Amino acid sequence: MSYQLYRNTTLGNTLQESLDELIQYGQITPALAFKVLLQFDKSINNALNQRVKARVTFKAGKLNTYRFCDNVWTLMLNDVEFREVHEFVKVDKVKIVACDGKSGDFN
Amino acid sequence: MALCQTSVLKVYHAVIEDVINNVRDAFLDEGVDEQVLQEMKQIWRNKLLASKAVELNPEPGEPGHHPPPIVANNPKSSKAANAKAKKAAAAAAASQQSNGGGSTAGSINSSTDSNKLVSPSIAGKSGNAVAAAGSGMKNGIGAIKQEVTSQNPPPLHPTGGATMLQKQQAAAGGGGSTSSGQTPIPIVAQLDPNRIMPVNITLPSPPGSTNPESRVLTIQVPASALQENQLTQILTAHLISSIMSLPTTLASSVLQQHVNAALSNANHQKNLAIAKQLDGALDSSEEDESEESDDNIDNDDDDDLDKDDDDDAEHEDAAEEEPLNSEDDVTDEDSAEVFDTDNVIVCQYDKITRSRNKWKFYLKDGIMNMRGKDYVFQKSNGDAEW
Repeated sequence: MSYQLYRNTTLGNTLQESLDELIQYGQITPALAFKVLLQFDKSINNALNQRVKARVTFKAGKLNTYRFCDNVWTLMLNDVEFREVHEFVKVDKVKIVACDGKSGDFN
Repeated sequence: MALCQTSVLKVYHAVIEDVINNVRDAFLDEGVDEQVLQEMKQIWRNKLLASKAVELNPEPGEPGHHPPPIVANNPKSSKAANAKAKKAAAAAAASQQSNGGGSTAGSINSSTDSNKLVSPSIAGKSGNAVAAAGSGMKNGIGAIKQEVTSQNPPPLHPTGGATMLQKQQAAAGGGGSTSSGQTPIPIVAQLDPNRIMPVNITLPSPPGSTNPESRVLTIQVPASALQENQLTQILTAHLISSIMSLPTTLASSVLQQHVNAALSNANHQKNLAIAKQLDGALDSSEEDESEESDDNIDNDDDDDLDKDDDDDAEHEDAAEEEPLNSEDDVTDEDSAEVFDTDNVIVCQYDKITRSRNKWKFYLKDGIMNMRGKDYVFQKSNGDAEW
């Protein structure tokens, strides 16, 4: 069992749209689509854990809102500057949804 | 942010490959063909690229990144071929009209009422080529030509990107009137809806192929699909682009499966709609909405019930806008607004600490979508004040 929260990303959403189409065309069953999504959870958790090396720091002007519920943090940050070595991206507003990283290693 | 952006594409492709390879057994277990798996991969990749979140640094030589635009049929060669066929068709139309219009003439006649497949070669003798454009030509893919082998041109409903085809149709009409003095009538409309018609779809050569010849796929559809112009809705641009890289026979069968499934879905829905009508002629929503018509009906017990339902539905709608005791729920409404943003990070936390109003965040394994672009990180530390 891996975290399902990455389904709500570009890669996860495009997969779900693709599966929806195949179901609509009658090419696959919803049960098979469900299996694909479970495999996606495993694959994305693994890939992030093992293939990604980038480190980013960020500094937020303000922590606007925070919520901690069912071990999930939801944070709203304002005026955030993300920095990777010399480059940076600045946004007015960002939402962070974070699951517990310690129990996430079970995959 | 270069590293965490360039690695996005690699990570995503690795995930796609991993998912495809690991669900293959599940597909086999359910008896789903390998083609469908490959199709899923293609659709997924196309959607990912269409999202623009990862367009930076496409890897050179990677197939499927930019499916080559489907070249609208070469006007030179097809015009000549079409002109010939259309002349024959126009003549056939003329002779058929003199035969009394409704009946189909010639070699096809024998199979009109049986649901036999009309083989393209038989139909082609008296047939002509008519183009209908696929709808939804997005992603820079040009018009795709469908050649319908039948005696006369079916009605054309060209949609976007089909101007060239319209011209061809106009030319066909012109040719018909010069040779026979009559405009060919759209015979598809008169065909038995259950009759199976072969439809040719011309694709350009697959990406990377040295053979410049375009390929022709043939699929079988009932005439009703042509009459209702369903094909143009089924053959979407991304469907076409997803089969382009497949070998011809594979592409044909994938396309055929798609069309069959979509048509049976459409028919099923049609039947449902008809079934719904059976519960009473006065049950359509339009009539319920009109209060006057309700008042004019003497025996309107049923309608009163329906009206109550409608009223309830309206109340529910109103309730959604302003729920009961909504003033007590200020925080919920606020948070819905506060948590609404386009920049989202999905990740895991190692720890999140606070001392007074100073917060520190230790995050890992994150996917960020900021200003429409995706980034990934292994670790991300940050701080903020509340």
